[in-house]
Amino acid sequence: MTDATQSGVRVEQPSVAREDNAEGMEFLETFKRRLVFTYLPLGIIILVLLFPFYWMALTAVKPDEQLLDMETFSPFWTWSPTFKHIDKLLFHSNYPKWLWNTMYVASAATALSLFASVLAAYAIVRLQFRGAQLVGGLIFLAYLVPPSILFIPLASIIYQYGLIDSPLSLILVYPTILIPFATWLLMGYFKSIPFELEESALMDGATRFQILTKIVLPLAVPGLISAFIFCFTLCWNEFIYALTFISTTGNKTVPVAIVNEFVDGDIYRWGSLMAGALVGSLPLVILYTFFVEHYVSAMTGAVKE
Amino acid sequence: MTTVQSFDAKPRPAMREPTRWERLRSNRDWLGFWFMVPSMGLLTLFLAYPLFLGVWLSFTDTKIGRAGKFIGLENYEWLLDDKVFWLSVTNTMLYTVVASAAKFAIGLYLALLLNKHMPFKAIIRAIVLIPFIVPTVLSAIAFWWIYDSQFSIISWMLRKMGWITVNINFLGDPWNARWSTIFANVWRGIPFVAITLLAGLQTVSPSLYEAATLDGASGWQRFRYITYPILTPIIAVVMTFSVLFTFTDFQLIWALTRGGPVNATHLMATLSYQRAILGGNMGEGAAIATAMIPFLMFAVLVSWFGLQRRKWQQGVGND
Repeated sequence: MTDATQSGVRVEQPSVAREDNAEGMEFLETFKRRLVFTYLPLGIIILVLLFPFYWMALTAVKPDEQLLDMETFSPFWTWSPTFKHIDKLLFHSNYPKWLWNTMYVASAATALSLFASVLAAYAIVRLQFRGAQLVGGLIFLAYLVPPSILFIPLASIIYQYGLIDSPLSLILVYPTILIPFATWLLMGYFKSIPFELEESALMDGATRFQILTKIVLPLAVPGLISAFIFCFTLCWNEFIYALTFISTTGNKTVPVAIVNEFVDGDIYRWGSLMAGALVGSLPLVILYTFFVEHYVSAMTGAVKE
Repeated sequence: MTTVQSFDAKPRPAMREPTRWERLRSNRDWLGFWFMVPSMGLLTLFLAYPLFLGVWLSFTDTKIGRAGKFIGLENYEWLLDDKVFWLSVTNTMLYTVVASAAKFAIGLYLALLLNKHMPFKAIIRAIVLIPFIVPTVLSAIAFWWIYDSQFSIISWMLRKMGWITVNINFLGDPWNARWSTIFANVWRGIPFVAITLLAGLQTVSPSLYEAATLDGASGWQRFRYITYPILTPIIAVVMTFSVLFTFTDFQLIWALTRGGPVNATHLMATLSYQRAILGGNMGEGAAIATAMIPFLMFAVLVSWFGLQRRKWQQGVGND
């Protein structure tokens, strides 16, 4: 079953962000110098990076009259927060439906992509069938094909299949964005699993599928979590396909619905618009806070490959 | 009759030849084929096929709801004389070049800052990534509000500081709108560049810097001759992706300006959407999208090979 060359597969560390070892010579810097050249620019950059979110959250809880009157009320804070906008959003609009659509499409597309990617990554790394390298290269190339040049022909294909305006169209199309990424990420993790484990399982008569489900996958759980989180975020973020394929209000995803449904001439729309953006971002931010390390390793791992 | 006898009587299973089916089941190529079916099926059906169909559509006069017929290069000839198309091409170039350069410069600077030793480092790094987590459209909506013509907080602050007297019309004026969208794109792209470059920086051994300092290298020299060469491969990959995603950006522009004012911020992607989906001219939209492919390949090749050329100096195969 095994070639001599295969048992020599290099054991690689999975690309998890490593411990900081860059203390180096920084004790030579004075505190004043550090303050001016490190903390000050860092503070400014972080302030700029976070300000839109602060502004989004603040606007979402500000009463309408304070929103537009910047002279009598300080625009940077409010002492009388209101949940009117969020309440209106959650109980008097289609927003829960959109949130559910997004969640449903993202979960289904992610599950489908992970299933396909696990099989593909395992076959490329471990089965090493004829042409495995070529197929791996093709999958990487697929990563470089952006949705912006595919949405027009895809719209006509989806229309021909009769899937237009159905969440199923998004569930089938999103994997083309996710599979290349997830496959490359998982290939890195699978390479790091010692081949000897598989050899002994093969000797004991396990089938390839048993090896995959009972040995490889349990050992690659961190990789699976990374791939899952990243895919889920990408689905949630996807816009152009959802905008093109879905036309009924009730079938829209959050990003599309916010851009199209909330934009009326109402001068007081900002509160509910910002509340919509805030509530739409929260699930991802919560997911992110639990899995920061996996997220970072997914991002850097995919680039390092 | 003893128990020993009955134990002996049990026949040992004979080694038999594996059947055809068993051989096939353990054949690598056969297994590999079936393992690849789901991913290859999806990618062929919804990626490779549409890619070719898109090129084909660009040679037809297809409209929404009406199959087109082959008209050769007519769509492209039409686009050559189309001022709006050329405007979108130059906009895309400007957008890609300026935004990518800014993302690279600020992202690298931020990565160098984050690589220093400081308290709460993990938390700061986590915070920096947040703009990347939040869906682009939702943060673009926040920028839309920040750029509002009447109630912009930036205008308000500048007015209070006495720097301006009239509100800035961020998204209503062509050049203001271009810079505003570029700023929002840079804002959104910095975390990705910074965090991936930081991961590269963390692999650089501090002893290299110590040795260089003992030899009298200045801070700039340490960056130029140690950090930059070691980072080159990862910079090449990160910037290739950054250029690729900036060039094909759609959602940020669509959420902020929809190509306005008067087509001033149309990128090729937004223009093709407007022509194909809103205007119904699938053929013409497909021609614009197809026209992106050579530009895209050029941009990717430049950022890939231009930045990659020092790789051989590393002396190790990349993996």
